[in-house]
Amino acid sequence: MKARRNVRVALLVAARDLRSRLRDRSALVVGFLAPVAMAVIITLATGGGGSAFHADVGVVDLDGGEIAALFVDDVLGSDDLKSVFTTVRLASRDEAEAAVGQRTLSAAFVIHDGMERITVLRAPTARIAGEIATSVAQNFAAQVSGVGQAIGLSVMATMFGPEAFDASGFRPTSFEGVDLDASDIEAIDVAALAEEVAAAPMPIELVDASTGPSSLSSASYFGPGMAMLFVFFLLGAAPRSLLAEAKAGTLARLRAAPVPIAVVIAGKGLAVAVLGFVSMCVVWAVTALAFGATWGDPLAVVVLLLAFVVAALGITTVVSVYARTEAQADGFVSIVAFVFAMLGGSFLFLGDLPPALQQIARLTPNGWALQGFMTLTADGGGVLSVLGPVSAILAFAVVAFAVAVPGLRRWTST
Amino acid sequence: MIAALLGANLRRLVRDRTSLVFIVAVPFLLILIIGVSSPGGAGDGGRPVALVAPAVEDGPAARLVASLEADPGLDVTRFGDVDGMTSSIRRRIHVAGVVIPADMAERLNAGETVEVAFHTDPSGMPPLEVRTAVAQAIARVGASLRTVQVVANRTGIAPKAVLAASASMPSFGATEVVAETVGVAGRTLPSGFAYSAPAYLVLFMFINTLVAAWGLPADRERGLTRRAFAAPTGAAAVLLGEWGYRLLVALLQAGLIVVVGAVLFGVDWGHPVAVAAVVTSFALTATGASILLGSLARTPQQVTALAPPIGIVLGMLGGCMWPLEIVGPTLRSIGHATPHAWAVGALTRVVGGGAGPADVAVDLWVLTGFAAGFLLVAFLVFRRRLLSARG
Repeated sequence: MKARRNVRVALLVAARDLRSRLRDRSALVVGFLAPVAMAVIITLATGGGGSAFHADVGVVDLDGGEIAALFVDDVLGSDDLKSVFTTVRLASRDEAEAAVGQRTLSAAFVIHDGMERITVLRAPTARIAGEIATSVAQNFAAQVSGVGQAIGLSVMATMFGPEAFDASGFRPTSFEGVDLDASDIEAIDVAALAEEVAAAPMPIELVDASTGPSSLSSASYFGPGMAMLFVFFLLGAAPRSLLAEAKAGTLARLRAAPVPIAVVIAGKGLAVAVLGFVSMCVVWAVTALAFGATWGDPLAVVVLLLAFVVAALGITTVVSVYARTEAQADGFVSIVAFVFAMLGGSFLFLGDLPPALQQIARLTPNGWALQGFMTLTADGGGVLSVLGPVSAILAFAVVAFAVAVPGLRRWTST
Repeated sequence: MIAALLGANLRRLVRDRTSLVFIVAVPFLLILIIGVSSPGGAGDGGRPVALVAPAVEDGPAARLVASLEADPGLDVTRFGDVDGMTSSIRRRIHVAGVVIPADMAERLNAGETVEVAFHTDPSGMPPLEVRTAVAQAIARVGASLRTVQVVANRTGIAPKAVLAASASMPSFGATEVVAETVGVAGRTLPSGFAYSAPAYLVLFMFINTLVAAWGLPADRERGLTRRAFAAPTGAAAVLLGEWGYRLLVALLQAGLIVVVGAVLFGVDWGHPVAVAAVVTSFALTATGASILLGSLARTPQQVTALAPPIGIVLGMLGGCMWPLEIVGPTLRSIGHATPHAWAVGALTRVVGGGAGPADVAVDLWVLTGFAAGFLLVAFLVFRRRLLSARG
């Protein structure tokens, strides 16, 4: 009977608090406008706008021979490279340098006379194109020297016989009977050998495979990331208003009321928790409706959000409860919100951080929640797949409330 | 009078340890994170690629792994199994995965063609440049194996012996590859720390300065401002005192970030005069915005509630979170309506590209314009508030 009355009182306090908070326009900005604006900006900035890599490169053939033609037509003209490079033929090195310098081309190949050298002209602004171009040229050089090596090995084998080769390489046991003027050497048909090498099938092939589609996107990552940052600011209002009431003495007066003071505090907490949860859901809805970003299994998302709101309420309470002034409480909440958001990966994609910092992210509820959201979108898991993150987040809540209780007692007793 | 207001504000700051933590510790922590997460700074790492390969010391698989790891365009991380690799790609931690079969050497010996799998997330953008780099590495190893096979077939020597011999064999007709960089490196987009340090300096300088505006409505509530205004000085002097204090704090914070960045993380901030000019003009802008917010707000709570979201939204639009070069033209134009975009743009050119004061003159003019505009509006609002408060 008493318990039911207490719940009713807590709900009444929550409803009254919620109404007054909704009248405060800055709460609307912090809770709804700001996270939604941020989710929209992030999605517009990092989603959709990207395009597949492609670069224009030049080629200058100063050799004009067969092998150079092989490079221009068969290598640069291959299907593999056509998907990343569009090749333009240029007459001179100067022309190529000017085009790369003016950034009309990302890189250029200059094939020198006699195939002695391939110079790759790179633009400092197009690092990736430069790396690929260099790699392509080096690879071609390796192919050419492969033919040269085949010739060299064939000559050795002809001169010294197969018995000069063993598992550790070329080991001629004796030079006796080695005919240095062997007409056999001349008998090696270099062109035929080169052709044979070029015609032989490549023993290693690259085949494409799929990991299966992932629904992780910048909106589904930074959406919850930003929502979590602002929930802290929103929830900080509850302990701050308690602090104000404690100072004004109204909190102590409540002790005379026929309900435990904990019920009133719970009611105030419930009000901001509802506000925080709704704020996160608004960000969720906006990213889903406007950008088609999914946050994953809805039930699992709700569980994660609820756990996070409880933890954030505990943390904002514990940092406010030991503040002396409201301004100080605000400052503490801001610091915790920013530090947790930074360490937890709200600003920088967790995957971009080095392993050590990815571990540090687990010291924050934000980091755990983002891990949970990533599991939902990347692996398409359900509630069971986020039980780990949810328990970790709730552990933060339990510790925070346990530390906050003595502070709350002090407030209400004075 | 101005000095007295300045002194009073500074004393309040020193007593308020929370603000000090925010001014000193938060940017410091951020620099630490950025500094640690981008070792070497200037984006010299390649694209992140996951690799599953047999743990062998030599043989074709080991050579292929070495070839992949040596590619400057790739940053290879080894995984124990395909599931772990797949999960990492689906989380966008790695852009692609390469799986080298465990029995590669045996199958090559048996004369079979070995397939190396290139895993990508079909819902993402195909990383063509990574695929090309991997294909090149495979072609390099494949070409030498092919040569060995052809020679072994012709001579009847065991492939293993030919392979061992080819390692010590000088090649005929080798082609040398030389890479040359053309153009001014100064035009490059700085990455890693060279981008993050100036971007976060701008972001936090603005947010902190904006939050510091809570003092204005707080003073008004306590009647301090009115009393100061009653002295024979006028609104301009009161405003100057408030503004000077915030400017001082903003500059101190910026100086701290610059020094910590340079000493602890070896950031080369470039031309000192150019950096100082950009930082100072942005500090003027931020303090102008702060005074404006402080004059508009009715309560200190409004300031502390609104300042962080305003600061973050403007920072995002202005390129503090990611380079504006990667966003579409519309968002880039919108971004340049914020002072942040001009400050970050100028600073990154100075820090990453060695630009001097003359190269950032336009940005300085724009920032000064922002500062003048904010201060003018702030003065008008502040004066009206004071007059109405007095009345």
